[in-house]
Amino acid sequence: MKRPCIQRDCYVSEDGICQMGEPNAEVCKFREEAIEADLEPEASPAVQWDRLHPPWTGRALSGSDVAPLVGHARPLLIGLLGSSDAGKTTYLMTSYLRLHQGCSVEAYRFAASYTLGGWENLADYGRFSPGQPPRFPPHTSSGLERTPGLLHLAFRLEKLESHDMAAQKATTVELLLADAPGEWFDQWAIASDASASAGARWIIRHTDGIMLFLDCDALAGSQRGGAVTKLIRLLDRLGPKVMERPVAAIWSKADRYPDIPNAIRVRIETALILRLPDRKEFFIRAGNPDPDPESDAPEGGVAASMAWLLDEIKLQTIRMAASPPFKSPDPFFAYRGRSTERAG
Amino acid sequence: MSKTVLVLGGPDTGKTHFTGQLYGRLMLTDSAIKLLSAPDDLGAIQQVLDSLGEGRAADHTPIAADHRMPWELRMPSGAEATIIWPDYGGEQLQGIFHSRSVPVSWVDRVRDSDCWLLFIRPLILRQFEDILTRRRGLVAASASELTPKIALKPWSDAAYYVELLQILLWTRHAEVPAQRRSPRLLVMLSCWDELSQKELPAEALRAVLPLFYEFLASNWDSSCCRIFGLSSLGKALSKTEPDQDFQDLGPDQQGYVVMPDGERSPDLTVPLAWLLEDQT
Repeated sequence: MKRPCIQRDCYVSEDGICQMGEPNAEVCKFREEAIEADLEPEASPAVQWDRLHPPWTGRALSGSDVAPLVGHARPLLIGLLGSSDAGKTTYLMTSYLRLHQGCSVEAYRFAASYTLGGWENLADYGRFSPGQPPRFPPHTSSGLERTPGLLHLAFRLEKLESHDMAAQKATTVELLLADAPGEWFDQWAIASDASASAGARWIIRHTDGIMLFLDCDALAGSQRGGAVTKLIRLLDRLGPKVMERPVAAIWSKADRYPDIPNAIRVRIETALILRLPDRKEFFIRAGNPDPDPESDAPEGGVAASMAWLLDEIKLQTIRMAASPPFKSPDPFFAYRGRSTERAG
Repeated sequence: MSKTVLVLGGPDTGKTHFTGQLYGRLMLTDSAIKLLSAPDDLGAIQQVLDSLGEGRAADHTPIAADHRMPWELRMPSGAEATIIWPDYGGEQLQGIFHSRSVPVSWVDRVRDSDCWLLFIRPLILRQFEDILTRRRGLVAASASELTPKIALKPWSDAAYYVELLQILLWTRHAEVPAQRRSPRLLVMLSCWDELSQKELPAEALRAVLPLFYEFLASNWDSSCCRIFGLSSLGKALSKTEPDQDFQDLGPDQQGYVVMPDGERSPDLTVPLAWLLEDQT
């Protein structure tokens, strides 16, 4: 098989995912170079048998990358849903910057990550460098992918045993966060069975918990009619699919929340109550800090929302009875163990 | 008892000066650990000892250098121990990170080592300000940034150290994350004399590499991971201009370690004594 990319670990022809993060592999410069050089597989960089290579690169994972890394613990998958520019990627960036500062996610302390390269790439947008102020991460592009890039985090959870305050029981929680382009969910809301909705269906099928982003800036702006229509359409599609899974409804860019017209707010609240009655709502202003240093840290909602979702997913996992293995060609199912298929 | 120490440290993190000064202390009778006898061949240490004796900094260890010196030691308990003390070019460790692979020559020593000694020099770490440390908002991305990046930017030093240890732990087939007791880990914050704020070593590490600090706390049992400060020479030395005071007093009288509780000691063998002591 002719490998069209000179990057040794890039199997773009097999799963459509460019390892360099290029959304459209056709224009990846490494692929272009390969085509120009007419490289045959034998000419690609030789495997170095005198070196051991860990099975991760630090870049975001795809579904098939996960199994060899986290076989000892079942990772939780959280899907970030919402329209384009609703703040999903900025939320992830802020989450990592907090961890980088040594802040825990409430009781969850950073313990490991196999996608530090992906996280550092995001963090770069939030850092000061000479001549470069922090800026919003770019739009997550749709590209050719059918599964989203997954960012990995492992946490150590320290909880005191209620019957013995002196004893601390530490457990590990492994987490995969799916940051998908907003267009996926806009499309999925319109036509859930369309081929263009495959990525969104994958997330909805596999996710253990959902973060739904409600963009206050869009809902208060001049195009708010379109924004609320899209949101309600998404809620209508999502509601029946959620089943028992916890949903954190995150009002992003919450400094604009007061500017949302009352009528719009009522329509949204009505839809939320109808479609996601068990949601918990959070308000965050990640990336646009409140100038008043005495107020609650604006990124506090970032930690609270993630911690709540992790707690809820763990509770839900305990409630669910053990089920027989579910056979599926999708390697991500290999350790899901669910007997009920959730339709995407 | 025979133990293998894995010494980890990039270039310019102070490994070579510590090796020279440690050797000098091991030859003293009032150190916690003592050398039973001088090794047959001082080898690479000789150049370091000569330089320090003349009040000069030692030369940079060549990249390809890979020395292993067997030392026969008398431990504080009276027991005898043999350790293999390595010295190598710090670029080899960086090479593991950048190539994302572990050379076969390193695999055995990573797997067989009982304890790890990691040198980090706080002064050469890059410190970032970001939107959380400096309360400023984000601006819209410039037009050139609207397409996602192809090349990944260099990682922060904290992420670098986390990834490095993740790779080494994977090489040992160790579960990550997990609160481990083996290998015992000592983090040596070197060139302590360069630092202006005098806090506890653990606090100093937490201040410069918070993400890495959390990683250590989550992946090592607290009794098996210690953070020390180190100033092998007590001051900066030039490679070319001899320091007269240093010459006159002699290397044995220079340098100190900072214990985890903040106490200073001139006995540079104390960290090694903790690293090598039998776990109960």
